[in-house]
Amino acid sequence: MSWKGTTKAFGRLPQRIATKTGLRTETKDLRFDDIQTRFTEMTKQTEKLHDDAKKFRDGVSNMLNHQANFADLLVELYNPITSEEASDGVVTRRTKTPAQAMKATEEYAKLMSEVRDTILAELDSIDRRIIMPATEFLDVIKLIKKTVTKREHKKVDYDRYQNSVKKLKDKKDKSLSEEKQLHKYEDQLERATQEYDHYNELLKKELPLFFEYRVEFIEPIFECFYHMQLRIYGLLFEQFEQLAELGYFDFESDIIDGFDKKIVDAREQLEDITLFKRSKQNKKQDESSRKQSSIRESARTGSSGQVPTYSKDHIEEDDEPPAYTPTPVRAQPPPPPPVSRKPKPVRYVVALYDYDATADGDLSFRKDDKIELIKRTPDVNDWWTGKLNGVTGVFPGNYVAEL
Amino acid sequence: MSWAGFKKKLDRTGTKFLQTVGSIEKTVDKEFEEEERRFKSLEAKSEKLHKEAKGYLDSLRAITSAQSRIAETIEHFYEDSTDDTLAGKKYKDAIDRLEQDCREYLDDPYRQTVTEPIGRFCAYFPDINEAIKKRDKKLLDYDSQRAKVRKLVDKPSDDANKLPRAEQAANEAREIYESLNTQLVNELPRLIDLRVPYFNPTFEALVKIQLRFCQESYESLNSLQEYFADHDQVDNKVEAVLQKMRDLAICGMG
Repeated sequence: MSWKGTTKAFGRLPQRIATKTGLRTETKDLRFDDIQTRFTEMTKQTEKLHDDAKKFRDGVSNMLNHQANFADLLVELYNPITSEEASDGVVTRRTKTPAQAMKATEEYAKLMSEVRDTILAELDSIDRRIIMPATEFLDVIKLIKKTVTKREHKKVDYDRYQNSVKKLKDKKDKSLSEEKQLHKYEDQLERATQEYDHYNELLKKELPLFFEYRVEFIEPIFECFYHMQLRIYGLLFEQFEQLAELGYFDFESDIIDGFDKKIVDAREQLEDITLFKRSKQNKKQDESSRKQSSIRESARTGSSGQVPTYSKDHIEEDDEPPAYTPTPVRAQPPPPPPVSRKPKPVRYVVALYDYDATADGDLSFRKDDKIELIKRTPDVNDWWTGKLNGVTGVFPGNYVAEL
Repeated sequence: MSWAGFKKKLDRTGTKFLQTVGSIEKTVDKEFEEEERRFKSLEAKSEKLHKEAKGYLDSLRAITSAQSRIAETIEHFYEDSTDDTLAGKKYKDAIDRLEQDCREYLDDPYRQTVTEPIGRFCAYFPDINEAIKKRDKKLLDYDSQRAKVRKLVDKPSDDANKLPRAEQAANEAREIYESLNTQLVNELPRLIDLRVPYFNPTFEALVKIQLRFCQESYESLNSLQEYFADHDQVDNKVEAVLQKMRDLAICGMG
């Protein structure tokens, strides 16, 4: 701040404090205040537009990159997995990826990198046509803000000279120097009035104009954004339509149903791989031997727990946290619970595995948690109801052992 | 760590050292090593895939929420002007619908068919790595037992029982190692072969979700064409308005 500026700010200080504390009255121009509120609101909106346009641009470019990278990785994964230093003489058993699947991924990767390159090249028009104009608009707002501040200062001046003049005028028996002072203040008041009126009227006249221009400004920006969006989605859509033409994908079925049907086989085969269970089974053995005193081994664990060679049925029923698909199972209401033959006040079960809720109403628990059993069905593959730490919910019956 | 565990670890570190200096012979199974390398490659790629899949969903969400906020702002801008609020309104409605659709038809299916399945696949890797580690340890045990036998053969001990006992220990160690090794050599290729059948349904679901997302976005925006002028003149228009603004006396105070 210049020296002059500092002196001015200093001179205005008493008046500011006095109005703040309510000692002196402040000139109010309600119409101006109204306009100013609108102006402030608009500033906020423009800043928001500016930021969101950036976020949109970054979102699009991230999306394009992620989908292209995903596609590339898929190609790599579908290609035969080999180690770089393939040793000779070692015959490895490899199943080749079906040619059609290979072709589909390659096509996918090609289209995704194409669309990424096309759109990324055009994405800077968001910068040029939306973000930059918004920045310039914000610059204009900054200039106007300066004028608003200036008016504010002039208003303080006006108020304080008016106050001084009034005080002196009200005083009877003015001394000579006070008379002089009054003249000086009156001069200053006149100047301050002029200046304040000037800025006040100017803003009141021109801000509404500016508001009108703002609509003129936003319209082309809006149109531009719309067309940009349309173009981005259009380009993407085009690529996916091309992909659909391959005939490789089944677009008829529902997304989730189609997926569930197709994954079943692979999931079962994956669960057959004993490597995954070995560690779990061992852990369970350790655990159960440690806790034998407190937990009576249920018939289920006893039957297969210690047997190293197991049949597939055993594995699926007993050893692995069973694969389950929450939605389809839950779709059928569980059969009515059988009446308990031995009505005990409270029955407990012990969690064999960790379970994290996958839907509302599920009961989460950690391995070895003791759960109060509220409702069970004869089928262990069903959803049972239990209570833990005051929370009631359902859980897969095959995740627990009965005490 | 238990005392027994600690002692085992110490012994194995010793064996490893003696192997590097060459005084204990190291068993090499090329077939296993090849499978292990392939598994490591699968692991790395699958984990990257998982990351990209998550990033994709996050960026989609960022896009849809940014565009709905922009629609809101635009509507706001029009609010106190009398003309042409229709485009802003229609646009906002369309974007709101898209946003809602996304929540309903995109988020859940994507999680169920893309991120979760890939994540589940990746969740198997720690088991495998544990098994590999265990195999490596048992191999060290075997190598060290075998070295003891060799030493006893080269320099027979006074105690005649020592050699048979060492041989017995070496045999046991070999059996343990071999059963683990065979299991890995048999099952790693199975896991690796399963990657395509396992990822393929995800691939299809992903393409369907993506198609649906851009088709819906495109079509619902396209239906608003009539409300929008051609945008050829846009740049000039914006510049002209900005100039008009700068020409205002209230901007001249800088």
